[in-house]
Amino acid sequence: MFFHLKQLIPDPLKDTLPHPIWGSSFSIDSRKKYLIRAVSGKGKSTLVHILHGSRKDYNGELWVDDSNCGQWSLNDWCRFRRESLSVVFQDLRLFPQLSVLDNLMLMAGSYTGFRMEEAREMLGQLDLEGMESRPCGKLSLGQQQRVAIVRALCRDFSFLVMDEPFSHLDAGNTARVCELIHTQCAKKDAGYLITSLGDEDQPGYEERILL
Amino acid sequence: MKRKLLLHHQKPIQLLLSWFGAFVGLFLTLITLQYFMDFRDLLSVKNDWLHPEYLVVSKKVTVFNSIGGAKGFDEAEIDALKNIASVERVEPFERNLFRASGSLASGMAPGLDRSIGTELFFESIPDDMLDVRGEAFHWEEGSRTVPAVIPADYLRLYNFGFAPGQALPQVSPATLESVAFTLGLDSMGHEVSYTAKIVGFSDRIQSVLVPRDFLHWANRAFTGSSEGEKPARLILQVKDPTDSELLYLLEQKGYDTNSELLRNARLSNVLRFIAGLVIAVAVLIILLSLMGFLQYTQLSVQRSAYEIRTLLDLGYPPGQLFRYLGKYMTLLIGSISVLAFVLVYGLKMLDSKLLSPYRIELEEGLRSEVFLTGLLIFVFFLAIQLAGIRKSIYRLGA
Repeated sequence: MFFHLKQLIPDPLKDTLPHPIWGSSFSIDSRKKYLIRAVSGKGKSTLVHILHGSRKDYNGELWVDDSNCGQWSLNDWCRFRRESLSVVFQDLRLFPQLSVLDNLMLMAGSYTGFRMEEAREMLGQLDLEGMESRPCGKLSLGQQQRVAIVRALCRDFSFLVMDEPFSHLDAGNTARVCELIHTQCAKKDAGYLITSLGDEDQPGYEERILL
Repeated sequence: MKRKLLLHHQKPIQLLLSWFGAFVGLFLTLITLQYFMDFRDLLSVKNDWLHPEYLVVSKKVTVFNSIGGAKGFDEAEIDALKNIASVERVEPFERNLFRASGSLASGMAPGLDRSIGTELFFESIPDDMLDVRGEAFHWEEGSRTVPAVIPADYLRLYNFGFAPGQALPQVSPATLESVAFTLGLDSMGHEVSYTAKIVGFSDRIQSVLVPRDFLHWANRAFTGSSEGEKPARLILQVKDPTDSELLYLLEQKGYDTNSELLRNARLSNVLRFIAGLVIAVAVLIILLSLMGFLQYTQLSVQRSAYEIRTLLDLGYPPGQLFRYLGKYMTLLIGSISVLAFVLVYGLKMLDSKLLSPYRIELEEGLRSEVFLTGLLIFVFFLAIQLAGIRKSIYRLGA
């Protein structure tokens, strides 16, 4: 699967040209591993939201393979999010009133490849064992961030997009999360795109783009 | 889990209050409509070909118009009545133009030990407008016996007023029908004797009636003139005596009618007006209360905006979200409708007991119009609600 950004310029970033992504022809291969590094305000989250379909305030076109996303309905986008694209949002988008386990199981019926045992295993790997029944709102930000990453990984997908996924993690947890991401993406034959403020420099990225 | 997620912003007290408000609004509308229709049918006397209704109309006698005799109806006035849509037929009362008297000699009736007599008048209307039927009320030229119909009230007055006071015997209708009265008719100065027999008692017409054939013949034969005079009274066959156009004309022209129907008609019109007001208020209440309910439920959806948006961000199918919230709203609005129907039906079951002391009998069961109105309100508000939910979901996911 390929994302093609054709002369795509987000409305708030019109003044940032020339730019390696905006206003040019830029493609993303879903099997590759991308690191997008930039300081705040350069459009990292904007790129994540455009790929996710939750922002449409741009000129130009976004295509997925040979399909123009400008023609997609909400149903089309939701199907794409269920079947192909997994996202870790910067603001995590967990349900604070639900337990960790409920947050993970909420989409169990909608996602393919969801296995509870595997999800529990991932929680263990990220040092969240024993917290399954706690409401997410009662966890620390770092713990919540790891829950959001497990939620994004414990299902089938073709491409994983993560918006500053290590912003609340210490070095040890970041390393564990990176390892889990690599393992799971390799298992699913999927690539990923990670945005970062520039502090992390984990190996394994095939494309490093500085905005 | 979906309930915990999507409905956790619901405030039970607020939900209960808005639900109750909508329930009261719908209940009031249905109950008002039900009883409005029940009482309308009770008070309005509808005509059908088997049971036509009749009004007897005359001009009011006042101090001013009594001098010089009562005025009759002219052609234009009769036409004005005929032109009213609910008036099917207008016929004049014809009266005798000669002097007449009736008498009964002593011994001619059971218990009568003295002669009695009185001056008389006759009137006639078309036979088919009379509430007394039968071959007996028929006269052919040459016959010396004249059949007559008198008001049933006359017999009642006699039996329960006059007879006890005068030490006279009470008489039954059958007895009276067997008595042959002597009829004295003044034929241009000469009295001609006929026999009169009572053949029926009318509740509709307050007059002494003879067959129209006899009256036509007698007026011509005994006065030598074939010219009639303006009728003083008219009999109207009407579709609906409560018709407002008819009532307006009768009132505007100052016509008098002895019919109870008009009293009912006025009562019915007042009731219609009051019930119309109550229905208008009920409709206003239901609109406000259901709108309040819709506002509250839409607000609940808006309060769950984060959850809905996040579910859509995770790829949750919007159709499933809509179905879940739609089912919930259908349940809420459905419960309001069902309970309103049950309560209206329960009251209808009770009303025969509640109204029996007043001798009022209403139609049993729910009216189809009430059922249809409730169903329409249910469908209308559910459609608005579902459309609102769908719009909210798609706007949040856009």
